[in-house]
Amino acid sequence: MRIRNFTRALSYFLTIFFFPFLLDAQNFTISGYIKDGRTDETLIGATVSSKDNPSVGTVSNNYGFYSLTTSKGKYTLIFSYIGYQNKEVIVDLSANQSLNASLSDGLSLQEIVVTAREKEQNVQGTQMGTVALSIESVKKLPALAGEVDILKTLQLLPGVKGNEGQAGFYVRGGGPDQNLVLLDEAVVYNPGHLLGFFSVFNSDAIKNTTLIKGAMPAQYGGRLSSVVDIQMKEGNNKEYGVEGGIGLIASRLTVEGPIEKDKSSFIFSARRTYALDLAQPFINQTKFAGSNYYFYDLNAKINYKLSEKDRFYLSGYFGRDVFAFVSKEQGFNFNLPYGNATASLRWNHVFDQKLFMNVSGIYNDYDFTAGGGQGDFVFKAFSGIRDWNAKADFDYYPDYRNSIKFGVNYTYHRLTPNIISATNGDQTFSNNLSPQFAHESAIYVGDDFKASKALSFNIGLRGALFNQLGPYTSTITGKVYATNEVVKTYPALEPRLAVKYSFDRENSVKASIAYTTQFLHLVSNSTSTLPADVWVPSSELVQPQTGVQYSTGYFKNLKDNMYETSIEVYYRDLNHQIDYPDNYVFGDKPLVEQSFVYGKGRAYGVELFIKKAKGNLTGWIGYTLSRTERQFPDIENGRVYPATYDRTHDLSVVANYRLSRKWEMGGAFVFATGNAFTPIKDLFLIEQKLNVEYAPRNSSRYEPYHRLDLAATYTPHPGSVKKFQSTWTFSVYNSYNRLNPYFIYYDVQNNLEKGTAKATAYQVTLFPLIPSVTWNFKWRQKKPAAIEKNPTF
Amino acid sequence: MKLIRYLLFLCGTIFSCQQEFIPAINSNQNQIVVEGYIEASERATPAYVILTRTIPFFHEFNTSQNFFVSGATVYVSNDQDSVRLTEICWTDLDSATKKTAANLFGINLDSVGSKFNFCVYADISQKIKGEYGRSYHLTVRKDTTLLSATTTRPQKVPVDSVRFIKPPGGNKNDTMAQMQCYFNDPTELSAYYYRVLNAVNEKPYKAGSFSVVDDQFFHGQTVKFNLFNAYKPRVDKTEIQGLFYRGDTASVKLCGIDRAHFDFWNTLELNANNQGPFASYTRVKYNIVGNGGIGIWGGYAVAYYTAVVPTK
Repeated sequence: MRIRNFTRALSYFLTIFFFPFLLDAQNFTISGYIKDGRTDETLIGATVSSKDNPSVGTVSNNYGFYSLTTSKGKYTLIFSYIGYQNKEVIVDLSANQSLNASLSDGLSLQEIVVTAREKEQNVQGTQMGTVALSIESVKKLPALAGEVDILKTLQLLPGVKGNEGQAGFYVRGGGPDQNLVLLDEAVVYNPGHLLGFFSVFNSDAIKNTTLIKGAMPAQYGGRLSSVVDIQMKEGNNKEYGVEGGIGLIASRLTVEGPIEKDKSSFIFSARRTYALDLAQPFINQTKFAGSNYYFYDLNAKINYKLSEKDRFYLSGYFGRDVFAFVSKEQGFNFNLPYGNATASLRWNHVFDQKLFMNVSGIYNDYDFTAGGGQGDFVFKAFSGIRDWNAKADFDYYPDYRNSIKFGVNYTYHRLTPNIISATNGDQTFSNNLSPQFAHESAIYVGDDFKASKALSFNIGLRGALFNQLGPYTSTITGKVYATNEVVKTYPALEPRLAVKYSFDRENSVKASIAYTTQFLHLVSNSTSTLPADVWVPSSELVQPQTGVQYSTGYFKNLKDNMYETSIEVYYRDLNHQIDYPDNYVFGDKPLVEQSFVYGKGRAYGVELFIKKAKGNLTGWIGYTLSRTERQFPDIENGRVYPATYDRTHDLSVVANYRLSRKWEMGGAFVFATGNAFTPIKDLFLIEQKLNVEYAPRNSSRYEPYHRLDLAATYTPHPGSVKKFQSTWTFSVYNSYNRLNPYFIYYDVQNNLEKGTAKATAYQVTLFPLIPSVTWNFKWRQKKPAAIEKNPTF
Repeated sequence: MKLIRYLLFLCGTIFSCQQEFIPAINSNQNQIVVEGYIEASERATPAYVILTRTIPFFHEFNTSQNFFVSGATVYVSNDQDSVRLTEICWTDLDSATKKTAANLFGINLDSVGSKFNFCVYADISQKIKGEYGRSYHLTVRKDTTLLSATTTRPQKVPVDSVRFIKPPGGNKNDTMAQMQCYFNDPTELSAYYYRVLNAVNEKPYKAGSFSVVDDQFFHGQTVKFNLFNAYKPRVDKTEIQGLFYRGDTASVKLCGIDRAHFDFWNTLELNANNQGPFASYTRVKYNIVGNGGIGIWGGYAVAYYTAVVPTK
């Protein structure tokens, strides 16, 4: 019923607000691309607006394209982007025109404040719960073992929670599978390396990251909680460059440059760990010779500008973790390769200055294999997910008040459950499972609409359809479905609405509501997400997860946008949540979904955020007070319990201070309520051995988690005009060596011969104090101009 | 647990450290723990039930501490007969009976001190005989606590044969052998569940860390599996764990069990082994019904096989 009313309201808005502008013949359009002046990299989310009337303005899309339609007249347009010098252009809008704006990334030697206007986005933008992080600001922060990690930085923002040693993160009470992680529009199903200690995103290849934790706009779907939209760099279109770094555990190398100047460019970036490679000579002398672990990432992208109206992008990511364990004495070997591969081919076309189209063909794959054996016994387990995705997205800018997005999206999913096979000499065992298949389609329309100077809406509707397909044999009825025969269909209608009212340029209130549906599920039977966890489709056995989020907030900028502050409150209802019962045994039933139990969840909280965006000292303080609960009829008869990642208090303090031209200091302090865990209740004897009886789920807490990381970046020759430049980053992770709990386990030692037993609990800490040093270098074909970066976040 | 130790070793060499953790007391009442079995085999033992109490988390335990529940009323019945089990305690037995009982219940006579006591409720009349394919009902009453359970014993699956081969891999140890056990999984039942125990020489039967399996992967097939010796080797070396000494007498006890009985062992064994950040706690699935009690009432359809490990 609510959805129906919402749909009616949507059509009302579309009719009332679009038509007057569509019919207005006195409007003209200026459009083009906003770029980095030195590299020609397009700038995402850059603003362009009239100096006299800032509400006449727009924002560049994910491809750096902007289009501004307004009435005839003379305008001084200001192009601005975080960390870049504003550019003012006087235009006489008496006809449609194209204008590409190139911005300089920094200050000329005379200091001027350059980022003010762009900074108002947090107050003036309609969308709430959205944070864009430039990779430059991420690189200034301390990182574990010196490995800059975009996902770990996101976890320093209010409402985003992570756990040490995990790539999975939790947004406003949602599970780690409820985040849509996109790399150049391709879904990344497992964003973690080394069981999640590091993320798969190589910072050198990344241009921009946007996190949407509030109401996601209609172009995004398929997940309940959040969107992390990551764009790879396109490659310098003007000159060749090489950059890289040598760190404690990994090294990076990136090469970029023009293929055909101003027309096409490429970037290729690689990263690989080598800690255990270096140790190979020693390992080979032990009984574990042949054992190794490493991971690597390859990012590659080329783009080609066919004309001003047509551009092509081909990008790919390939990353793998490889773990091999060999014990010659026991004749035992174990291999664990897994990883993601994505490829995106995209075509941008500008139909006319108001209509921008992007057509994408995307392939992505995540696969996990575990294999090994001892003597005659050989086993292999395989699981994975593979998508073929085609989509068309349109950005339509009928006038400066409306920025309309619409599009269609289709994905063919192939989900491989845990297929296990084993041979023991001449005998073969298999669980005889087959992949599952599904169509996922969506159509959406959304408008970012400025009703007046003060009031704006982002209104959207997304319709989605999910079909489980054959070949499939029903585990309920036994019916056999042929290839592509529909087994089960789930439709979904997802309205989204965000409203902003600004009192002035520096004060606004916002509210939003979003319905979301999720058709693919990753259910983990552990306290962390694991590479072996299997994505499961909605099917005759599993209903889609649904959720609704209500949020509201007050946003205020102070002191000419030097400080950005906000307070946001959210409430979420989550339905058809999935978990394992607490006596689940892996492999108990052929399909994991046959063991699932279903329930609901709710989450609510308040998030405070204060950011200092300019000056020698920059950074932020984020604090979240929240509650996340789950309730499953089949878990303790429906007792409401806190989710594992329920965290009452969560505080992050992030600071960066420019001490001198040569030294920059960074620090991050986090404090969080300890995770909920299920403690031991009793011991009992069976077969004269002690066993443990657990208390109710998540009924106890670890000690609070806190940690201070520090970093110092040393630039030996600041302002150097040499082609080759380098910096040193020294960082200390967990600087006061806090022994944070990673997990607790119980060791029960039974000695039947002596008739004794002993039970002890241990708390394990993952990372104590870890110092690291990283050397980063940059080589450019041409000498850079003598400029200096403006310290901004 | 082994997995955790490996992981700790792996992480520990690089980063991690651990410290003892003192858990909060979460227990305010002791529950009755039922452990009862009824066996059908060529050398069937009387049905028996051991009643103990749950113990709050503590550090040391030894056989002189008494956790046994005395004075309970315990009945076992099938669809025809019912029998009240008799409570017998260790201290009541003469030394010959003690030896038989020790073998039956897996008690090491060398280690038990003078304070040791052990009580069991047994069907000394053997009125209810263990028969293949029948269901047996248990009721336990102690004060206001009433517990019950039902178990079914499936058909017996005999051990077809046993072979001993050289230890796997590069293990050149010629004093030890790996046992391979053969049996034919029945086709007439859609699912069959097994528990395997082994004995060495005069020692009682003992189960390893993972003692149960279902026939999901080998339904209706002839199965060969490596049976790992549940007894630790005489020298504590990982590479010879699970192997048998040549010249020893090795016995296999292959038990057919019902689903609930399988679930109990399957969850109990994970309960001990499945911990840490890469696993979740596992709550044991008991088949005992009633407030104030946990445990198992399990039927076994037992097949035995004994062989001497060849010296060459």
